[in-house]
Amino acid sequence: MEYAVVAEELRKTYWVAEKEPGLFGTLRHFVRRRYRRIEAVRGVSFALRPGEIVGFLGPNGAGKTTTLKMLTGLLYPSGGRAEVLGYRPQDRRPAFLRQITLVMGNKAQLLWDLPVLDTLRINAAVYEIPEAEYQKRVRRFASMLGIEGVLTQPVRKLSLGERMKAELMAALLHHPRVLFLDEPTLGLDVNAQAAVRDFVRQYARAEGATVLLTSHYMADIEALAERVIVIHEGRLLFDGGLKGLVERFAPYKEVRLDLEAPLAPGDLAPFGEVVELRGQSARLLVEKPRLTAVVARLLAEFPVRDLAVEEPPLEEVIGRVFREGRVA
Amino acid sequence: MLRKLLAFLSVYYAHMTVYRGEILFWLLTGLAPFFFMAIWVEAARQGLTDRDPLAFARYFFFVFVTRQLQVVWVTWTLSEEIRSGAFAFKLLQPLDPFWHYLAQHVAERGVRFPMIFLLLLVFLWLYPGALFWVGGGRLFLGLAASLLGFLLNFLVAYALGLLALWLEEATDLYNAWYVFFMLFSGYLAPLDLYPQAVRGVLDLTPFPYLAYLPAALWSGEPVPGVGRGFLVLLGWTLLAFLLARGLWRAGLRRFSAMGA
Amino acid sequence: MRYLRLFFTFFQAAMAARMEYRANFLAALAVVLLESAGMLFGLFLFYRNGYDLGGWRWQEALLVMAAARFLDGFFTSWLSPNLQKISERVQQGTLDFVLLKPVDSQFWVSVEQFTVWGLPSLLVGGLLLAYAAPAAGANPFYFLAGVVLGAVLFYALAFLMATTTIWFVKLYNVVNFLGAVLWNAQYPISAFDRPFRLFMTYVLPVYFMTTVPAEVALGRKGPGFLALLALLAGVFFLLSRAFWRFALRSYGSASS
Repeated sequence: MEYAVVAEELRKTYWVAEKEPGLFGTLRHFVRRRYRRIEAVRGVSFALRPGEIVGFLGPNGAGKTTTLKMLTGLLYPSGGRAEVLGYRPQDRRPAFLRQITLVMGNKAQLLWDLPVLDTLRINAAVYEIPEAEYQKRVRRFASMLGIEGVLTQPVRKLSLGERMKAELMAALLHHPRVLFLDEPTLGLDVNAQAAVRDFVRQYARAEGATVLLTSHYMADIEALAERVIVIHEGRLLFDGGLKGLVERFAPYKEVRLDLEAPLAPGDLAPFGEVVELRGQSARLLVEKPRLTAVVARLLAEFPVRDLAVEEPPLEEVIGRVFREGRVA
Repeated sequence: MLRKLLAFLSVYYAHMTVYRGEILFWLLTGLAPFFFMAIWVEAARQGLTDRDPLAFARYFFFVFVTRQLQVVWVTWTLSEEIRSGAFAFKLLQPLDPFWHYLAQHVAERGVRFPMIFLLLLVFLWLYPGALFWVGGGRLFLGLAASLLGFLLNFLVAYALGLLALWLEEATDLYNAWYVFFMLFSGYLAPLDLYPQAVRGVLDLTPFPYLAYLPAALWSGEPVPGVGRGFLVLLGWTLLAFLLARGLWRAGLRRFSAMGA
Repeated sequence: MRYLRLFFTFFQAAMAARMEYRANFLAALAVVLLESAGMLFGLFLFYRNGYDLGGWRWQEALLVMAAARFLDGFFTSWLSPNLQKISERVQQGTLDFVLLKPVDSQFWVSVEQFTVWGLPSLLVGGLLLAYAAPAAGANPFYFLAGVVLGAVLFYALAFLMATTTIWFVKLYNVVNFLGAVLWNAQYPISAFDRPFRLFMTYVLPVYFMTTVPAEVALGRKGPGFLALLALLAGVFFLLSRAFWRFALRSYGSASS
């Protein structure tokens, strides 16, 4: 099999009911509904090789979750073709379902009032994992995630980070070959994020699993993925290496300044885009061709204590791409 | 399969024991047969019918028991899971979620029935001498009718719950079914007291076999047409099964078109 | 005035949220009409055989049923959704938002929610009253005063029970239980066997909510009985306020 995951001209269109605010709007809505067409995904194509870990980026509402749901068979595509491990996801064949998993950072599959182990036992039964193997996997995952101590506590007593780790355990217990992770680190603190990332990386390496991952935290993407796919308003913006993304969308360097005296907000505007200005320090983005000239002028015109030129953080690059809505 | 079943039942039994307080209150919510027992016992005492007060007490107690065997809430669970999106996780498993919900209900009976034992004691204290041994045959038939009734209730509730994929909220629809049950099953009064014309129509519906049939069997009253009753009940159960399967297929198509 | 405006704002928002589910609304309407018809039929089963529920003419018994319908409408439309919401708020920790508002918190959590589901019950109650009051020669003002006082008493008892959600969290079935108790009080108290009569008077005093308004309206009990009912309702109302304040003291420590 050449590709583990294939999306070809994938499309999804919904109809949603609209309602105006207020009592009158309510009554009208009750009698007669107006519908609006939403094109959530408008022809997205990409393919993932077995064992690849790919970041899937886009602002809220770009169609990331819809795409993931089509690839897991939860949603039927309105057009185009999806293929995962040689199956058509929307057929929802048991053999297919046994080999994939979907983790959603904002939704829980754990039984809220029971210890984690109970949900795991249900999943072991559903996926027909032999007892000895089940015990082995639970021990291994729990130690990888560092949550051995909390498996016997009711889920509702767990911290957000522990709960997410337990969700991952439940989602990976059947050793899926393809992982779809939708914001798996949502709302977690830095340590928990790092733990989740490490776990996903270790698992993927050990099992040779393919991973498609969305996240708002660029640190996740940078740590896990060498390749990123960017979509915006349902269309593919970029598909390629992380470095290529930066070069393509950010012909900028970031200049960090430390000054002897505070600056007025407008002072730096002529030199580039000011990202941050806090008292005596500032960060600004400067187009690469102008860089040398700008640095020289800055040094000449301001009482500079320190100056550094760096690659801009990925968040800003991506943010810039989306704001400008530039299509590749 | 057996292992799956055991794992489901043991985990869901643990799950249900967490909700024992809820279940207790739910049990108390279903005390209506006791109140109607109080009304009919008083009426019988004043000579309204030729049944004696204890016969009414016995009848309504068994109405209560069979009802408790048949309680379902799967409409509510489905509505809730569809709205919250948790339903998606069930769809990602290589197993029909039907079995999850069924196992939950079966496990719940294990928590509910010990509580009913306490109510039995209260009942015996209020109406001493109301219960007697009716014989194994009747006991078995009443139990069979109750279990079939449970299955019918469950399938109807499951089918209605799937409607939440279209309507977002389906619990009120199950309430409609429940009201029919309440009025036409013998829940409020033994059906033999209903006007003959009404009974003729009711005999073709599933309702009389959900409460009146098992309660009358257990309380040792004459029950004509037991065999026919089982056939009618079986027919409706089969129909509900087909309906539930059909809605499941259509619902999946719907879900995969709209998401939720 | 401010509280009144707040009430209407809540009302409107809640309407909007619930009308989303129109099939359900129609189903709920049908259910109540059917249920009322069924309860009338149940009553008819007795009168058909010449039994008068311990000394109530048909029209008089209908008054008790009307009172039960009114209270059921009140329960379904206001009480039940609000009480459910309190326990939801405790679970999700959003009770904090209410406590931060410069508004009486008990007022807020008692009127914030509203559903249209109870309206058909109120309608049926109105119809029953319109027919039965003249037919039985009952005083409708005494009757309505009794029902309102009964509603206050019911609210206070229900709120007392609901307040325990601060410690026990789950309330769904407790609230349903309250509705069921009320539902069982659609017949005059004299219809029930003695142990149940005592239970319905002294343990869960539904007697005061449905039978008493009818008795006063029919002149079987003097208007002084209304004063007694008012006193009872008032005492329990104050008790519910005190208990709510007491419960809130443990709320802070319970949130996580």
